[in-house]
Amino acid sequence: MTSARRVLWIYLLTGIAVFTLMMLLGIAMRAEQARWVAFGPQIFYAMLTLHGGGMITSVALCGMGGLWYLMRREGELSARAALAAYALVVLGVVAVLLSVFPGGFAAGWTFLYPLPFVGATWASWATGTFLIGIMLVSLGWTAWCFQILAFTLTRYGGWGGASGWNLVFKRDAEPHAVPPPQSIAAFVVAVDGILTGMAGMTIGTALIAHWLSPSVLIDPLWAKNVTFFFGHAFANLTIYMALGWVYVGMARYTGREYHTTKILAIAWWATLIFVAVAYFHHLYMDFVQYRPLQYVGEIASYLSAIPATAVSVWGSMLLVYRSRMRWTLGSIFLFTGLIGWVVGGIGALLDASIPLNFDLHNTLWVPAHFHTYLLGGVFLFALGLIYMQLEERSGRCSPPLLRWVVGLTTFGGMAVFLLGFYVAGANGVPRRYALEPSPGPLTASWATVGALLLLLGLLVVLIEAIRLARLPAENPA
Amino acid sequence: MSPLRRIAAYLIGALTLAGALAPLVSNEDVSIPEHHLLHAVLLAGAVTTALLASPDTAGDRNGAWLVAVVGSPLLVMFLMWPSSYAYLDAHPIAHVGDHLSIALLGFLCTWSGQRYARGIGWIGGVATVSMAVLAAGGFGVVR
Repeated sequence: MTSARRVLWIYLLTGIAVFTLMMLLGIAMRAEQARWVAFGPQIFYAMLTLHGGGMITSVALCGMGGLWYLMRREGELSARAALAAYALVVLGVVAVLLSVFPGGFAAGWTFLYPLPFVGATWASWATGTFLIGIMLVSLGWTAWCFQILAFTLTRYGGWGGASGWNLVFKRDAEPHAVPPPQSIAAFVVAVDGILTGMAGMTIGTALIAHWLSPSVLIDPLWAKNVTFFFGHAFANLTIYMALGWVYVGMARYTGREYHTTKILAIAWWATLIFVAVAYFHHLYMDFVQYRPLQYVGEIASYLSAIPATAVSVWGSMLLVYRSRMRWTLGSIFLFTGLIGWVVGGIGALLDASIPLNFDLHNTLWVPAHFHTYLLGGVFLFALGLIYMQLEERSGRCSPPLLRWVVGLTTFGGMAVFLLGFYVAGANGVPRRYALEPSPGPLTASWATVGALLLLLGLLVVLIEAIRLARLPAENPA
Repeated sequence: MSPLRRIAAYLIGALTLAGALAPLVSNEDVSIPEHHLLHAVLLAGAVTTALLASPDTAGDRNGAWLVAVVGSPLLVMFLMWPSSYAYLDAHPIAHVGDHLSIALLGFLCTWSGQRYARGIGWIGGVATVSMAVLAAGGFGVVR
């Protein structure tokens, strides 16, 4: 029988491995934009496609494994079902990989209709393989969400218990039936995940139908709405999955409890709605979009920041305040991840403001903000979870000098890398260009140096993780 | 299950079946969005029947139910392939078969969801109907 911890590590290590591979592709692309290397636009756009899809899926795998493990500690969950979902996602990743190398598919991970089919420089099979790959990822994700939702409904007494509704509105709610914060997060992620997964299946089927039978036409505006309903939420939910570990990890490192309060439950209901409807901000430039939806996009984008900052970030700060927190690598990664999430979120809010969006839309500001919260947020949360496991198992933590080395190289390199995106974006350098206008090549040079420094730091992180993993277990599972 | 609920399940199930047989008596040409929406109505009937007919147990979280919950909506979408509509309009028996399959899959998704864990059938069923409604917005349609 597969142990819960084994399932966690299968998900985590696969996610980190795919992430590392995609990071190497990313560095190669920034080096191309800096004009340090020249492999040509054809390969650049294929790499860009793979990098985008691969990165989102890799952090999603980390999130899925971590949250599944936290739920497993609350009660019975089938490891087989978790591994089946994992297999579907990994099969999808392999299909996407094949579609790009050797297939040459290069329409971008957002696969916006009719881009994958018009003026394609790649074979038709590559388009089909990519779409089937995305569909498999969507299926695996949906299956995982159903498993998690079923668990929370069964464990906490149905919709009222699992959502925190009973806690908020029923005075006689039994304390033992109140879900811990990470379970409320799991419930919200699962509900939003099912809705967005179903949207992913809808657009996936439509695109596959068009691929096999070109006479089946698709409304491009509809396709863009459904694609971003799926894609935006899927990317956002990776953060919200990771918050489950933050609740558990921060509580453990500070020696305090992260309680489920009425405010926390309400904040997560708000997140459930805002994550689903904020995607309209991706369509500001689509003049045919129904105008009120543009306002919904702006309002939802702004409101989505309130539950996140007022509950999760502020709550974590209160836990840390005067707590004599143990500053190990695990806790440093979790805490710094919160900073990355907030900074990336502010970048997103600026871009979601319609007057600013006129200038920032489709500039490097967009990858600036999402790299901040994915690399500087979710990825650091994943490293925090890994180190939390290793530190607990071995009963040891890393020496202070090593923590400084990791801090300077990893966070310093990351800051320089991200700054390259922000400065270029503010100067109007367009995104998704193999060859950028000035000052793109200059800022890409800084970014490449920063990324290489980051890579060096992550190598230290890897070696230290192996050292901790090889220590005899003081607290075996 | 209360007698009233049982009667409601039989009644809505019978109405859904009757709706699925419609192509045998009427061959009216409808647009693709309308066709998707008619499928959504069929699905709504099948989902409601399954919710009424499913047992009030907590569910056994058997993996086979999970496969049905996730796989059924996907198969429904493939059965709503717009380029097949012209053929189905010309072949009423095949059209009825398509409708019955769609309704059966909607029922299967919801029933299996409730058997997997109580409450899952609700979200699975609602999502399946929503997919059909969503498809009416642009799957096989150009404004």
